[in-house]
Order: sequence, then structure tokens, then C-alpha cells
Amino acid sequence: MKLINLDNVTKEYSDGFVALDRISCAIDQGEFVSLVGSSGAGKSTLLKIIYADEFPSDGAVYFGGRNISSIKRKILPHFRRNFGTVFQDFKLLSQKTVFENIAYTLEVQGKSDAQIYEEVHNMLKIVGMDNKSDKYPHQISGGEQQRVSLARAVIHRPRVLIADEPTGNLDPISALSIVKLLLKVNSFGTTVILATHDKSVVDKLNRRVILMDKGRIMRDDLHGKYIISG
Amino acid sequence: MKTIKLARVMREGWQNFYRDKWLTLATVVIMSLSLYLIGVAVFLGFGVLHIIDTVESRINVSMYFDFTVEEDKILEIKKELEEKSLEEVQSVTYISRDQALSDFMEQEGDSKEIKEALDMIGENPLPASLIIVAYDTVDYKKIDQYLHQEYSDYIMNTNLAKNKGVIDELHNFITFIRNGGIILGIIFAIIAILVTLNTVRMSLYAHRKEFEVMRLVGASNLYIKIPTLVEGTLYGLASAIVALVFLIGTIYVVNPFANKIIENANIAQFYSTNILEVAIIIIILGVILGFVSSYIAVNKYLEK
Repeated sequence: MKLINLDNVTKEYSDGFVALDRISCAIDQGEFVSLVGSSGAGKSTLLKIIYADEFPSDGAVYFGGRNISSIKRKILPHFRRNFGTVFQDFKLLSQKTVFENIAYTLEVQGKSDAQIYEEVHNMLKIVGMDNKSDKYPHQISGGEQQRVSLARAVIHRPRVLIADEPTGNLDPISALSIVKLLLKVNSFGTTVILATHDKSVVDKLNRRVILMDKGRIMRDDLHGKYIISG
Repeated sequence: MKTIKLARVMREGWQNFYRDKWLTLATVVIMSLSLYLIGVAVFLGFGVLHIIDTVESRINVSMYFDFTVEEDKILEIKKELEEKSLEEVQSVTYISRDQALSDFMEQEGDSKEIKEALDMIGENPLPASLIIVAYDTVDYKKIDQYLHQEYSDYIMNTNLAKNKGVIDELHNFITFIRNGGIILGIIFAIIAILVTLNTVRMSLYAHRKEFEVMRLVGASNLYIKIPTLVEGTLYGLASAIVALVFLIGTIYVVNPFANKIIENANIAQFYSTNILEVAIIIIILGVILGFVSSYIAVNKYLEK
């Protein structure tokens, strides 16, 4: 059984716009999947449907064999702990330090202070930010912010890491370091789903690529390149 | 685990409050202005009531006795008035003839002419009297009628007729001030509450994107809500304290002027004895306003 299963998923918004059109695909535990396509192709919507921020208007999404639509609202925060999320705009909490931003994920889960201290410092070393743990987001660069955001996304060891254009705002060198970190996370067994515009990133990875256009899946290659047409 | 989380959400709220200093400053300035306005309204209300009491206590009706009436009889009547006959009566004070004379002399400043005139008369021309103070200004008429009816054998006259116009006018004025003050106070309070609600809502508007992020990393709605409520409550508390400091300052600045208008109505002294109550009212009001405003705001932004 696959970890994530989308069965004929359609997402239509109240204004009639169809973001996803009868999508079916499956993603296995430990996979590294790149989701490519132009803006408005439906990449972000597909990701949101997977981590239950949006719900399909038709069809079903299964996570570990369980229909996500059947999850009660109250349990949703717990369910989302299966996922880590990284975005183009980092989404760090501006009034918290680097350390506190990462610790927050563990705090909401009720971990002890000692445990949080240890795990966060280990994670800071992995992403190379251990010398800036007391800085606030506005005091560090974009590349550094994204590393913090990534650290926050995986500190609680989620089963799936969702990365929506994580390199979109970064210079090539910072982007490369983020991609390397994504691969590292994946090597520990975490499923990574990466939505991106960045051709060079996808081509370098040589992993599974799903090409989307107008809410539909156009190609699904196990060792793909970034190819828009053909 | 519950206590760890509770401690954490409290700390979160405190951090929101003290880290975003500009936001906190802006919120507290506007909120304390509102509370200050409410405080001024409350103080004005209290102050006017106090002044009314002071003025009212100086209104009285005097009952002058014939020279032939013995002191014992007067004291007997005093006792009757105090103890049973009229429930409208607040206090009765006896002024003997000698007392009346020395009061009169003192008032006139021991002038030579008066002394000479008194010597010519050869005896004290002033009658003994009972000064009767009522609880309510409307009752003087009734008291006066009663005195004439019950004690007409003993009294020379009463001075109500002379004071009647003043008493009636004052009564109307007092009623007007009371009602007007209450209405004005309510309007003030409503404006202040609306301003506060909006201010806190605007402040939390800055957080609404962070609520989304918190949800994404697995925070439950309650874990997001409580820090916000703590933050709102802290805004209210801080604003109440600031407003109080300015209120107390205002009283001491205004007091000399108020004392000029109405003699001996020592407003500052009155307020200093009531300041604790007013402080408690303002602080409770601030905390409730902060809490309720943030509750409304956070529910709005967490709707999704």
C-alpha cells in the first residue's frame, strides 16, 4: 500500500475555477517527487490537498490508507504533524528567534524543555545555523531563513516533507544548499514532495517528476527532467 | 503535559506583548486614552454626586423658638424629631441663645457698632433654634408643615419661606445634573469600548498570518488562541495602569479650580478616599475589554 493515494481528485472553487481536474496518483514512503509546471497549473493546490489544508470537491485522498476527508476537524492539527511544510516566503514567526521558531513545532506537541533544547540544537547544526540561534528572522539572510524554515519542518520527524517553491526567492548557491538538505532529509526515509519552477534543480535531482498543466497530470516519469512540452 | 503547555501559552502571550514594542505601544496608547475617558466620566459622576451631597448638607430649615420656651422643652422636641416623628430628618442640631449670639458676633467680626447696639438692648435678642437637615431636598416642605402643625405653640417662626426658592431651584438643578451625567457617562463609555475593540482587533490583524503558520506546524486552535487572549489581557492591564496614572495626575491639577467653584468641597480628598474603588473599576474594565476584544478578533481570524 502506498503512503499517499489520490483517487480521481477534483478541486473546484466556489467561483467555478477548477484547480485540479480528476487527478489520480500514488506516492510511496521514502520517495522524492518533484512537481513541475507553470504558475496556475495546480501544484500548490495539490500540495494543500495532500496536507489537508484544502479538501477535494470530488474524489478522495488517502494517507496511510485512511481517507483524509473523514478526519475530524479537532484532530486535524494532530494529523498535520505527519507533514512538514516549507514555502517560498519562509513563513517564520517574526517575533521569535531562530531557536524558538524551530522549537515551536515541538512545543505544541508538549515535548519537555530539555528534549526540545537538545533536538533543536542538533537540528541547528545539521542546517548550519547553530551560531545564529538567537537571531530574529529579519536579522538573517533569505537563504538562512529558508534553512531555519526547513529545520522547523523536519524537527518533529514528519513522514512527509512538503516544499512549495522553496528556492523561489533564493540565489543559486543558497538554492543548491536547500536542495542538498532536501536530499539529506529524504535519505533518512522521509518522503519529499517538491513543487518548483527551477529547471536546474529538477534536472540535477534525476528523481520522479510529475508535470502538471491546467489542473491535470501531463507526465509522470520515474527519472524525469524538467520538460514543459512533449 | 497539560501544565507544560499552559506555561508555554502564557509565555507566548507575554512574548507577543513585550517583543513587538511598537505594536504594544500603539495599542496601549489608544486603549489607555479610552480608559482615561471612561475614568474621567466616572470621576466626574462621582465628583458631581459628592458636590451635590456637600451642597445639600448645607441646606437646612431652622426652627426658632419663643423666648419663653425652656431649654429642656427644646431638647425634648429635638429628641422627638430625631427619634420618632419624621423619617425624612437626617439630623437635628440645637443652637442655644448664647451660642446663637456668639456665632453672630463671630460672623460680624466683633464690630463696635454691634456691641453698642446690643448693650442698648440690654439682653440677647436672638432666639434659640433647632437646625434640621433632611435626607432629600424635596422633604423640606413636608418637614416645615409638620413643624408648624405640631409645635405651633412653641415656635416663633421657621426660615423655610426664605430658603424655599433656592431649595426648589437647587433640587431641579441636581436632578438635571444627575441624569445628564449618567447619559454622558454612558455615551463616553460606549465610544471608549468601541475604540478599544477596534484597536485590539487591528493589532491582532498583524498576527493573522502567523496564526496560519502556527496551524501548519500542528498547533491546535486553543494553543493559538490562549497566547492571543493573554496578549489582549496584558494590553488591557497595561492601559488601565497608564490611564490611572494620568487620572490621578488630572485630579491633582484640577482640584484647586474645583475648590474655587465650590468652597470646601475637597475633591482631591474625596477622590483619594475613593481611588481604590476607581482603580479597581478601571483595571477590571481594562482587563475585560482587552480579553473580550482579543477573543472576538482571534475567533474572526481563526475562522477558517
